[in-house]
Amino acid sequence: MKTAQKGPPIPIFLIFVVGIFLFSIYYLYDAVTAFFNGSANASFQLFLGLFGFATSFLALAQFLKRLTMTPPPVPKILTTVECKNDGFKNVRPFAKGDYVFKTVENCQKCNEPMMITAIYVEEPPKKS
Amino acid sequence: MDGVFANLMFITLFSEFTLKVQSMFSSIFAQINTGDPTSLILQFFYLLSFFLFIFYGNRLQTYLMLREIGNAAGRLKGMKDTARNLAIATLKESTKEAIDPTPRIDHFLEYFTIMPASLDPTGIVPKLDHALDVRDQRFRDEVKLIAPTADDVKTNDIEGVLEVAISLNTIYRVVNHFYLLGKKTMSLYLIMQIQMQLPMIMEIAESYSVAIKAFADGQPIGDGAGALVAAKFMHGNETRKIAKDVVVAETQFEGRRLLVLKAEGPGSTVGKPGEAIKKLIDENEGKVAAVIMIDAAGKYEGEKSGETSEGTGAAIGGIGVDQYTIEEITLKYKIPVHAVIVKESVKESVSPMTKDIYEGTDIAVARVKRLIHERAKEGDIVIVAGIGNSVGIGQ
Ligand SMILES: [Zn+2]
Repeated sequence: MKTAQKGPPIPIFLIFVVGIFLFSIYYLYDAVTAFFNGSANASFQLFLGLFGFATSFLALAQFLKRLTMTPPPVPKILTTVECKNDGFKNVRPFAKGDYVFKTVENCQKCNEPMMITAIYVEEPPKKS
Repeated sequence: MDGVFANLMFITLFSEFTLKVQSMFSSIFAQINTGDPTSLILQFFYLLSFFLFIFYGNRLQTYLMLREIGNAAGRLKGMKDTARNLAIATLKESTKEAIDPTPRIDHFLEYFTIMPASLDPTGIVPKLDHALDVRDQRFRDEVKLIAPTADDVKTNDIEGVLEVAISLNTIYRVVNHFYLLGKKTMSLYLIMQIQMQLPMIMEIAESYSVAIKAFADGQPIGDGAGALVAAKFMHGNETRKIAKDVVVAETQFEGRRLLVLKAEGPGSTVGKPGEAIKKLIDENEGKVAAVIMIDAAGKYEGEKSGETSEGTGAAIGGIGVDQYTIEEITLKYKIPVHAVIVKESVKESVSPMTKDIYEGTDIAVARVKRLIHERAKEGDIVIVAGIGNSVGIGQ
């Protein structure tokens, strides 16, 4: 089966964007000097310079954002173990084989078997 | 009147346009006369891009959309490969024999079910039921064949893993199909069809990639909210099997006889609650005061997860077989069906259960108790059905 191709390799893309960035700075410089020299029409240099500057700056910013983007944190699953006898409660990381209402290890206080009462994801830091 | 007005508008616009073009050309000629070459070249490129955008704007948009779909297809490929590898790893660790499950899983990833013909819809539900039963049995046999030493709970969990891997594989195949088709035809409208739906597709795919880990480890998922509510009612009471993968326990609440049912945990299964409810009603010859169903249900964007609400009707998702069965039997004996739902997003329903949803089940328990108190008298029989996947939830 044919598969989807990825975009162009990053170096070519980067060279392209940096090239546009440098060119636009050159054009902007050109426009400014033309303005101070009082010479005629430099609006195209200005236009090209601004346009190139804006697009390449946005592209670079997006690229940097992607580079520094951290992968979403792996959800941490917590298991709550409770003792029916004296209400002793213990929250520990989820272990394979845990399930709600499973009878597990004995209570630290009264040595009676305890029970899993809840399994849920630890609240991630609020984002939305 | 309108026609005249439109004509006038057109003429004005058109003359303005010609004026613009004229002035553009005259400025070019002026610059030729002044002999400024850079300015001329820039003018040329400016005009060129202007016409390029007029004639090739659509094409450019098509390329951009196509690239977006291509990237999505690439990400989906990564997800389905990870899912496949996880399925293989899960199967490998649950069998002691040295058979490599890879080829069998690769075959199974494209397993499909053909829905019965709906041209003449009378009697389609039993056909559908039958098709799903065969599919289910086939899945179980397949897992038993690859991992004969796995116990029932593990078998159910592996089935869950396989289901999710198949779903991810299907999503990838569909998106990749549209990507390649779009590339071949360059048809904007063909590409648009899939591009518009990409955000939703990707969200579902991402939640499936999280879900598959939950199934492999046997963690409760959001969809299990209904099963958890039922488990809280039945815990500590003796259970018996009433239908395929469904258990029922009898308990008392304020003098009412409660028949509480849920899918048999802690393996991953939803069971056949429709059949179970039908059997329970038949066993009691229709003398049931109410059926109360608890299920996780989709929330609207902006609503809080874990909130509960109440309504009427058979609260059960899926393809509709169970809903049909419940509606038929409750209609026959004129038994009211009440629904309590725990709200969550589609993503949350297949991801490991969040604290909000867990706390929501406590509120749902309270609401069900209130319903029983209000909707049934002492000595009445009430069926409490917790709907949803019971992965990681015992009883
Ligand atoms: Zn204790």
